[in-house]
Amino acid sequence: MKQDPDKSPLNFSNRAFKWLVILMSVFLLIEIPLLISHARHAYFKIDGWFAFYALLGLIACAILVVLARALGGLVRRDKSYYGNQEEESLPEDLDERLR
Amino acid sequence: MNDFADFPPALILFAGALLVPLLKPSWRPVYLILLPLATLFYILQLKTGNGWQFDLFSFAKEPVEFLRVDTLSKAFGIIFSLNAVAAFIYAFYYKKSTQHVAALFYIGGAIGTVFAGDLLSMYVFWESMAVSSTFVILARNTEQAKGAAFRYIMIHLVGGLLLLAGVILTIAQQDGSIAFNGFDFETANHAGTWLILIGILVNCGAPPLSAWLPDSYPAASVTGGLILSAYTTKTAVYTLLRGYPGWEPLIWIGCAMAVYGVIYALMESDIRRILAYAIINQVGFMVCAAGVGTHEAISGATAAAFCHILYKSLLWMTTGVVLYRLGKSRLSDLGGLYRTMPVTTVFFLIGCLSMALPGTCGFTSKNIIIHAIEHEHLFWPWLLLEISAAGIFLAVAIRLPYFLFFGKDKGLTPKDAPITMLGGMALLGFFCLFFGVAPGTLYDLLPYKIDFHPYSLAKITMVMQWILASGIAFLFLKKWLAPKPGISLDFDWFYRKGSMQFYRAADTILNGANVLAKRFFIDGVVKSVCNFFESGGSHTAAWVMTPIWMLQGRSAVDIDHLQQSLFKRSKRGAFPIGITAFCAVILLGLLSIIFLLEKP
Repeated sequence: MKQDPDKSPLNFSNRAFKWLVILMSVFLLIEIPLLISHARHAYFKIDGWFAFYALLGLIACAILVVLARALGGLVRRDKSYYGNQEEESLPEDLDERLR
Repeated sequence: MNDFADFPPALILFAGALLVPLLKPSWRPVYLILLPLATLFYILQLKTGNGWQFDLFSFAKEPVEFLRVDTLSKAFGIIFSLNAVAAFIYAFYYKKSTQHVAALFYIGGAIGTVFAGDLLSMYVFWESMAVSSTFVILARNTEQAKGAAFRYIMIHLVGGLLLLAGVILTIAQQDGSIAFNGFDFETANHAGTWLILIGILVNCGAPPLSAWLPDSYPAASVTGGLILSAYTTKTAVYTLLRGYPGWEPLIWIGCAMAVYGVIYALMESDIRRILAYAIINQVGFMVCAAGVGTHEAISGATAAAFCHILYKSLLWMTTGVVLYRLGKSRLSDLGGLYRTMPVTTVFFLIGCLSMALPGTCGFTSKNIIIHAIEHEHLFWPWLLLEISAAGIFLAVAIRLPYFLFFGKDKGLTPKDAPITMLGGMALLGFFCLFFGVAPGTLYDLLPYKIDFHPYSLAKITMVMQWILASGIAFLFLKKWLAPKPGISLDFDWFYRKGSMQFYRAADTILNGANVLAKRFFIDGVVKSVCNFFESGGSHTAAWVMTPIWMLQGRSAVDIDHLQQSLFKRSKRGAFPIGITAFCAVILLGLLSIIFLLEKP
């Protein structure tokens, strides 16, 4: 059975995004030796740790996504919550001949 | 000092706006591009100094000054007019002149505010901005836009009134001086400056006064939203940098904005609402920098505002193309658009990567703020901003392009952007990259010279680490980040739903109290008093006379008859004159006795 591409990591529906992942991995490969060879001036001690910013990025994203999900459970409502159905489309905005 | 011939640059746009309806529709688009272009060149040649001063108010110590040119106002003036040029190229085929006129007044108001020399001139331009921006929203002319515009103007009128109250109190506190320079946190910490600050924070989109932004900007038209996204919040940032450098609470307000913006941006499913929350997040960085208040922080905030306008406008433009071509703005309805919209996709990627990637303007500007905070050793603000920087990159630069342009193909095959829209995007895309590779040009525009070198290996590896980390985080959290249907409630709930419930509660409580009061006073007390004055006398008389009649040996029927006749006479006022006169004499006699007894 074909897996839903949006539901599993490392499995994407298109080639373009796969290339982005490959590009990121290449960056990562360049990054690691640079990290080892160059120590950054630390202002707060912890930012001098090895790969501190990578760790920060990972933890930050995880925490924020969990928070967003938890808050989403509390504040998400049907789109007709405020009475009016959300309007879409703005075709009237621009000249017809462009469409 | 500027001579009188140097007029406020806003006048070009104000005067120009009045001519728009008179022009032939075919000339209008070119005229609309030339106006901000002329403003841009005019601002570029302005020399540092003050001008256009008028003695308008007797209470003010100094004349009202409509032109103050220095490096800070010039930097904001340049980016405001540059962005307007790109926006009008993008809106080349937009036909509604009402929106164009409102937009020109709005941009003029924003430029007027940054060049205003004192509190009073600043307030005038500030309010003109609030009014004209409401018309920009209204120009879309849908029910949603009307509702959003109403809420928008209500919030901004409240903000404007607070600002006005603050301005009046501050002028009184400054002994009639209308000067608007940096307020000192220690000496100028009074109600006036705080009210001005709250008024400014409304325009910044600081929570809980923030919900107007994601409510109103997506309700405007494609081009209206684009124009709105640049000016209100950045003008507010300018006023904070001008008036409130070093006000410590701003550091924490900025951090709150950054975190709040990123959480909502991660939660939202509507592309323009995501961008609206991203604005709050990015403005949070600038507010925080204003709170730090060092020269490096002020310059960093100016650079960040400058670059934020560039890449955020580019993002509004590219998402505007999607909206214009498909009429859809929910991520859950979109996907796989890169196949038929490759050029828009490239410009979108330039815009979103410009938030942080080395080689773009976000990298060369936002890191100045981070650097300034590191220099001041502010650990928690630094950590919160770094966390939200990674988070907003995940939300806008990874999640948004993935679900919008890549991701699951929804079978949509829209055409790519029209040539004029591409023109606007190309102009901003160019500057996003230009200020990324040649940051010196940007740094020359900043209010204070800074010793900041973005392209050190340490800084590049630092940023690349969390960029890659957020990419990896996305791979594993993709399921949780998938767009969901529905809307997210924000602080606007309090006035959209909460106010209705408040109304109902007030209705129940106050009208209930009203009914109770009616029952007690009108039906109870007043009625009894009326009864007393109507028949109190006859009842008293009957009460006195009945025992006498009984002693006289009258029958019960007789007594009843006498009582009824007493009541009737009392009601009609028809007692025989003799009895009345007798009672009056007795009453006078009693009064005389009391009077005599009272006398010592």
